[in-house]
Amino acid sequence: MNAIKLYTKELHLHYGEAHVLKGIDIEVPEHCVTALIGPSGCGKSTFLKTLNRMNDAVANVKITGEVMLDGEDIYAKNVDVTALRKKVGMVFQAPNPFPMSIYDNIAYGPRIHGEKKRIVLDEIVEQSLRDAAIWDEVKDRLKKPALGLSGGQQQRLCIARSLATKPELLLMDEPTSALDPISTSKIEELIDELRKSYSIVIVTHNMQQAARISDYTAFFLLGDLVELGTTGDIFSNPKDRRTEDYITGRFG
Amino acid sequence: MTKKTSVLSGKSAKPLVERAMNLIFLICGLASVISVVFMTVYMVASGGAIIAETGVLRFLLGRIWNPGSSEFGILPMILASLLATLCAVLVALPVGVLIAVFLAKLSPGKLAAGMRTFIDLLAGIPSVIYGLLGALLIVPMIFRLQKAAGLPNGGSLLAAILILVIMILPTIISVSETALRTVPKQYEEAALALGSTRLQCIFKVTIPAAKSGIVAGMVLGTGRAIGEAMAVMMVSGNAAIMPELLRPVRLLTAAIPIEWAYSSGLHRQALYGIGLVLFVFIMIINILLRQIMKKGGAHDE
Repeated sequence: MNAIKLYTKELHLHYGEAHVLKGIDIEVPEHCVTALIGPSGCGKSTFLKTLNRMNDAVANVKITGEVMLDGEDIYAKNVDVTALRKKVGMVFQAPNPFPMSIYDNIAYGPRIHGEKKRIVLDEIVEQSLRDAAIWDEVKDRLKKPALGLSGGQQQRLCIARSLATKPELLLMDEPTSALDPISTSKIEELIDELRKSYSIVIVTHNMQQAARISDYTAFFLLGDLVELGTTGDIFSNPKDRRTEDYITGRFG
Repeated sequence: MTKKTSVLSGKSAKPLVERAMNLIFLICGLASVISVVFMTVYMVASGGAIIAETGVLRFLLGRIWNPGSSEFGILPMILASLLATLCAVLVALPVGVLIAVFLAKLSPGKLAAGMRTFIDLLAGIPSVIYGLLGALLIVPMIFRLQKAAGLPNGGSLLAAILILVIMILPTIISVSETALRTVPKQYEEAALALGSTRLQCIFKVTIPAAKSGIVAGMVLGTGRAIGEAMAVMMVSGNAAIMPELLRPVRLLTAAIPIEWAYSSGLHRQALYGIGLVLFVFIMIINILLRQIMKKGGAHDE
C-alpha cells in the first residue's frame, strides 16, 4: 500500500442538532483514487468538504476530531486556510466555471496566489489544460467565455482550474452526475491519468463508476464509515453485511 | 363504449367579456406609447424653433445666456449639467457598490435589513427636502473652501455634486445589491475552494459577475442625476457662467423653472430648447440602459 496522504481520527460533525458524521476514521493513500459511496444523506459529501474546510462558512457547524494531512492537523488554530485549499483542490457536482474567458478561469488560482508574470501564467494554463485533457479542444479559443463550452468540457475545465494551483490532493464531489455518458467516460479516463500525480478522493452515487475507477472504496451509511477496503474486496468480498446489501442493490 | 366529449361550443371562440377586456388592455397599453410619442413630437416642435432660429451651433456652443439681449447660448449649462452628473456618478458608484457589497455579502442579516430600510427611505424623500438639507448643511460647509480660494460665498458646482451623490446613492445601492445577490453561489464556492480569501472572492469573482447589473444601476443613477432640478437649484447658485468647482453654476434642469414665470416670446422658446436638449440626453441614457440590459441578458445564458 502507498504512503498515507491523509487520515482522520474520531471525526465528528454536527449541524446544530444533527449529528452528521459520527466518528470517521479513514486513511487516504497517496497516488490512489479513493471512492466514497453510500446512499443520499449518508454524510459522504459533508465528509469531503471537511477535508478542505469548506464547511467553515456554514452556520452552526461543529467539528471535532483530527484531520491529518501530511502529518499536519488542518483544523489546528494556526492553519492558513487559503494555503490548505491551494494544496487540496476541489471539483464540484455541477460544472461551475467563472463567467470569464477560459484563460482567466485557469489563471484565477495562480493569480490570487500571487503569480503575475504572463509567461509563467501562459505555461500554467497550457499545462493544466493538457493535464485535464481539454487543451486540444480549447487551445484556439482561450479568450472565449468558458460558459460557451459544453457541460462535459466545462467540467474538465474546472478540473484544469483546480490543477492550476498545483494541488496534492484532489476532492471530487460527484463530478459526473450532471454529465452525459460520453463526457462521463472522458472524465473517468482523465481521473485514471491523474492518479499518477495526485491523490484523489471522489464521492460518487454510481457504484459501477466506483468499481471502474477507484483503488479503495469507503462505504458510508447514516454518518458512519461502515467499511473501507480495496475496491476489489469491497465489491467482491465485503466484510460487513450492510455493505453487501448496498452493493447488491438490496437498499439505497 | 368510451366516452368522447365535444370541445366545440357552437359560439364564437372568445366570449364577449374576454374580447372587451382585451380591448381595454390594448387601449391602456397604447396610452403609454402615445404619450411618449406625443411628448417627443411636442418637444421637438416647440424646442426646435429656437434652435432653428439661432442655429444649432450657436445655441449649443454659445457661451452667453442673456435673454434681455436675445443671446441664448447654453454651453455653460450643458457643461455644468454634464460635469455635475459625471462627478456625482464617479463618486457615488464606488461608494454605492461598496455599500451594496456590505449589504449583500458581508453584514449580518439584521443589520443589513435595518440599513436597507433607511436606504429605501432615502430613495423616497422628495428632492426639495434634499435641497433644504443642502442649503442648510452642504453650502455653508463649502464657505471655508471658497474663502480660502478668495471666492464669494454661495452655492457652487461642488454643492450640486455632493447633493446629487446623496440622491443617486439609493438607486445605485439597491440595483447593485440585487445584482450581487443573484450571482450564483457556485461561483463563490469555486473561488473559495481555490484558496481565495473572502475579499478576493468578492472583488475578483462576485463583482465582475454582477457587472451588467452594477452598470445598469450606474446608468439609472446617471439618469436621475441629470434630470434632477429642485435640489440642485437650491444649492448651486444658478449663475449661467462657465462651470468651476467652487463657483455658482446653472444646470439645464434648473434653468427652466428659474426663468419660466417671467419668460415670453423668444425667451420662452429658448427654455423649450433647453428642455429638448435635456430630453435628448435622457433618451440617450435610456437607450444605453436598454443596450446594457440586453447584453447582460445574453451574457448570462
